[in-house]
Amino acid sequence: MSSHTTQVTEPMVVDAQGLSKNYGKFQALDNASFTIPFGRIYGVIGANGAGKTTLLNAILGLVPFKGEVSVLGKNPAKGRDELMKDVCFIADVATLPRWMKVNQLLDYVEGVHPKFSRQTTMGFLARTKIPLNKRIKALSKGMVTQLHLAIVMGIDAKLLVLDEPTLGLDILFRKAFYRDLLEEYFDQGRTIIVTTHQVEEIEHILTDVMFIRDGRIVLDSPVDVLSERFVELVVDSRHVEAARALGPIQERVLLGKNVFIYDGVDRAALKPLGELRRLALADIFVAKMSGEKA
Amino acid sequence: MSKFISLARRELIEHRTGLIYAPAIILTLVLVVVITSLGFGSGMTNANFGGTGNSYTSLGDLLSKLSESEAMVRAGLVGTFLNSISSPAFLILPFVIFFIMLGGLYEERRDRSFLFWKSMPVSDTWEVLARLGAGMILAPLCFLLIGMAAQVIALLIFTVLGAVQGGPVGDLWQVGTILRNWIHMPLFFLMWALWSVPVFAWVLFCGAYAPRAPFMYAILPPLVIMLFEGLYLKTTHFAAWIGIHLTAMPVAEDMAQDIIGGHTVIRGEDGFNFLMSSVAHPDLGVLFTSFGNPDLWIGLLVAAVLVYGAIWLRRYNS
Repeated sequence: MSSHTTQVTEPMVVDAQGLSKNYGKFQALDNASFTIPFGRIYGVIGANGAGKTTLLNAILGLVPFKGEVSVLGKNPAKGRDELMKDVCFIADVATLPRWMKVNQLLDYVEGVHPKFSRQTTMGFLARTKIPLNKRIKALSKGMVTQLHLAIVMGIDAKLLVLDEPTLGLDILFRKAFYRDLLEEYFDQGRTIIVTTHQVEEIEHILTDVMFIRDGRIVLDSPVDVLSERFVELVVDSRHVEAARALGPIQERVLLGKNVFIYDGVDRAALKPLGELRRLALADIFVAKMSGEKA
Repeated sequence: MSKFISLARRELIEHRTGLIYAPAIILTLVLVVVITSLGFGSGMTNANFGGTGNSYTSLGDLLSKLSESEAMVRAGLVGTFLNSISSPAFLILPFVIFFIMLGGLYEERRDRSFLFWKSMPVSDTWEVLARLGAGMILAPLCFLLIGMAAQVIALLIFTVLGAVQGGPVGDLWQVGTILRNWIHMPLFFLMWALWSVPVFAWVLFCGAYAPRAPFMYAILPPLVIMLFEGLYLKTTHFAAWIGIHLTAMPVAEDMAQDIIGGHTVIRGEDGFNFLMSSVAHPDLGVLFTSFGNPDLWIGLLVAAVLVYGAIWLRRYNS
């Protein structure tokens, strides 16, 4: 079920041990340890300021940090440029240079990146309405994201890191973005790490999730395990006490019914008490975050 | 190599206004003024070449007079004429470099594009050196090439006009002098870049550091230092240091020394001849005399520290 325990000898894309980072007195990351194997799509989920971006920046060698981090066997704090031959990232929406023409940007990437296939990128661009001879500042926000994705898809990287890549785009662009990523780019040789506020939109493509709060990783699990572990129970009023006795991590009243969320409680014990429901990732996140006492 | 070319092309695109449009516009204006005034005679009555007080009726007439002078003076006059075509652009070169240095590393943070550049396999060292090179190498190179183009255009137009007006246009084509000046100028700008690089490296550093208003960061600290030095020590060493480096004064002094040689008193006509000979046949070796000047090396050391600081800032200032 979980490859985390069985693939100890297999090389990891990311191996972080005791990763810490503070900005002055603010502890952005507190002793985070995790490993990310090949062929996964990892969702890093947390509130604003939880440390998601710091975590990604450490992996990408963009900030100095404490602890041991190895990305594809390399130390990202040394030689970011070497690492970027195999790692690619979109760190924000609209980071492409606005004063460049699309063609000029492709020339540049072709010139500096040994693993860039212009042909692949052109294939994706052909499906869009992006004009090649226009400056990037003349493109719509959605087009800029499409262009960035097309460039990334032309790069034969082993790890792709996406930090809020679709923020502020409309739903059609967002859907298409993740569809292209999943269908045209992702394969067993690659790993994608993604953060987003719209968890529900990427839930179906994730293989693993990592919940992060106050710089700590509070949960790190494959998605299929999570949907086994966490369950919602809508209880008939007569079974409320029995349900409470089984140790829910969250209890609330919805439309006159008592709703409980359980973490790792046997379903056979819950079934007789009411109706069991599958939980969405966002609900698990909220339950987990409000349930845990900081 | 392709990485180097790609970075240079990127700088050329980003700073196309300062690197290409600005000198091109200035030199076009110069060409228009020179050609209309000299080529069509309106400026002829005021032309006072070589201090001789002669006036000329047309370009053809001027060329005829030119052909009567000594070969060295002829070459020197043509060289002076061509240099005066291209040199107005160089007046703005320091300003162009200033804004390239200030803008590159600041703007990429402001518009967040540094996040894209950092996703490419290009080190922060390469990136900062590309910015430095854009100012200290690419900018003089662009100005020189556009200046040469303006000289060639001026020569061609004057050849046609001179021929129409019946002058000996062959004397315009002082190929030896032209080529030697085309070698001399880049070498001069190389030395100038080496002398002035500490000042511009400071600007580069400010562009990498300033959270906002990089112009103020670049300008105010030196002004404050000058002010305090003036108030409390009653000296101007700091301002002088900047001035000497920014103008590559020692290089100019070496050149002047070389031209006048051991003479202490120079009369008008000798001065003219010295000047003509220096333009007709500029000495290349003397440009490098200041390699023996410790001030040059101190400046380079200062520049190296500032560039290292800019690299460090770019690596971690995100």
